[in-house]
Amino acid sequence: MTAPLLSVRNLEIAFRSGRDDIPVVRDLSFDLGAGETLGIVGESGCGKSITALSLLGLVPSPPGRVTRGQILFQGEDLVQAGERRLNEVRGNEISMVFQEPMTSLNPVYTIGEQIAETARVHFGLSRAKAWARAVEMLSLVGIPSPNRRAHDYPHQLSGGMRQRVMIAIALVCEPKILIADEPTTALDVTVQAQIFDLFNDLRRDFGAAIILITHDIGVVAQMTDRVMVMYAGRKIEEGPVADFVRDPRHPYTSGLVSCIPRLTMPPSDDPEPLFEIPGVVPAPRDLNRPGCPFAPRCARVMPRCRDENPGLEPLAPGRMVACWQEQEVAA
Amino acid sequence: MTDTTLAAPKPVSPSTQAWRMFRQNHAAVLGLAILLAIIVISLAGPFIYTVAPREMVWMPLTPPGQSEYVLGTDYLGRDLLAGLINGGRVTLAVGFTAALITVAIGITVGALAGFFGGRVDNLLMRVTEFFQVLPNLLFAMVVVMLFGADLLNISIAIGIVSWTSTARLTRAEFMRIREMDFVKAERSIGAANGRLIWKVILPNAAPPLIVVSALSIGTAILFEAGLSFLGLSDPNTTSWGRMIGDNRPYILDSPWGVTFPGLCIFLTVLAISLIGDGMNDAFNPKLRER
Repeated sequence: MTAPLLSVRNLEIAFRSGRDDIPVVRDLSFDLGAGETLGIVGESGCGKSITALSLLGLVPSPPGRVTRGQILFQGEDLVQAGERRLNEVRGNEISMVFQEPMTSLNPVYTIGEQIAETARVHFGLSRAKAWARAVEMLSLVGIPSPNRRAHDYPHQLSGGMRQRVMIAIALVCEPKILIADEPTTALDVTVQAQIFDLFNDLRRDFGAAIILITHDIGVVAQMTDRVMVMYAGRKIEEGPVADFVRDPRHPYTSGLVSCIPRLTMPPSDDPEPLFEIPGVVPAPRDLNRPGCPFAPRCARVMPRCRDENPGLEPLAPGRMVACWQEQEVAA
Repeated sequence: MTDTTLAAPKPVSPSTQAWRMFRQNHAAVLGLAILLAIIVISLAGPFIYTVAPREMVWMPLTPPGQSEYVLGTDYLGRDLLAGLINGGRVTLAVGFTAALITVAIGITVGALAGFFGGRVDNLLMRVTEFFQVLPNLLFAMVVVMLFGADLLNISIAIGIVSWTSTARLTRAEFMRIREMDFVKAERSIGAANGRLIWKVILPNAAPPLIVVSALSIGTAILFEAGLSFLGLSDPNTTSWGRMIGDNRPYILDSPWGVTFPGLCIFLTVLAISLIGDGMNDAFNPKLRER
């Protein structure tokens, strides 16, 4: 088996609060192969976005810091890399599309200038060539009459169009990994479908691996090859997407899957209430006590769950879960 | 029905938009006209009105309108009009140079402090405070007396006592913009710090900075007048402030000797203030029509 493109090993990210380092991501390991799409799911505040930022060396510091572990990109540890090297990696090798297309473009430059500038800095293209490349990228991400639109300022475009521009900027250097942090959360559902079609096309054309961060299980099922579920800064389940939707093992995962409202529910005067997981994600500060972090919210909690934190145990090849119940059933 | 599909609005750059707003402000346009007139007269005037400003040409303290020198003469019999025309050059030169120094120091210090934060910010802000608590006029006088009263030294002296407020404003703008999503996005595609400071954040911080820079020209002109009035000006040149200073002892006998240069300073600073106000409105997106 060849080495994966990206391999995260025992990553711990902590934020300084007063005199303590509070870990927000703990002992996180995962791999990403070339051309693969990995979904990272979980509620708000469980460490998805900060994990993504850490891959680019962009954990806000201070107060944040990678305190342990390795991020191996093609064998090179990015945690140890200097700022200069990271700037080469950013955009060139790994790039990111953010959640907020409305505010993620620089308001004082035209979109053509912004894409061209990126191409110029990374490839050393001439101005004319960089501009041509920008127009080409705009047409590639499906912006109509790109020649004219390239002269537009961000405020002249809709949210969906701006997100396309963000994607164009992220892809202009043909990175090996594209991280999309809730790329469609701020967009209409119809636009969302278009953006995901675009991702699929681009993956095919550019061969980029995609890390898709979302809390939308429907999106995950449609878009990804493999899914990793995070809860309170830890990975609690991982597996191929089909297994994840059909047969979720961790009670948190099955909770997430049950939370999807179904349109096929028959209309009635007394509708079934939507499923919800009671409670909220615990604050990172409260995670130092023993036991499974999900235990207080778990419907299937057992005495053992409150005392010991289950480790990740493989269930099948490529499939693992951190839950005492599953592990006892398996044993 | 007209064909609306082809009538896509032509993209308008932010500076074009600001200029359109500016033109609607009559006071600002008037200010701009006055300033341009003063600049043109100062630059071209000495070639057209060729009386030497420092030669004694007529009876001392001649009132306006009583000789071929229409604005009269000063206590040494020098032509006041020639003094005003030539003094404008010096006053404007010192004003613009000092403002340039003010803005260069202020923006650099403020940008570095606001962008890097932490220790850099702490250090630079303590330095800024040091300059803030110095008595401006006294410090500038010391600098000029130590290094000699030539135009460059005077400009530098004015620059180093007036950059602090520009630095504070720049710092505040940088701290605000630094946290914005597009800065994060630029970082994520590999923009280094230098690029983030000068090409990403600074253009977004520009509007208020342009306004204070323009206003600092007016402040610098007043400052120069003050120094000249106290006798701290280049003895080989004529400036409006120096004219006021020179004619001060004769203010009761010939008030025109201080009135005309005072009026020139007033008009110039007023024009700059009007322009500054107009720019402030023009850059304010809330007042700008879409």
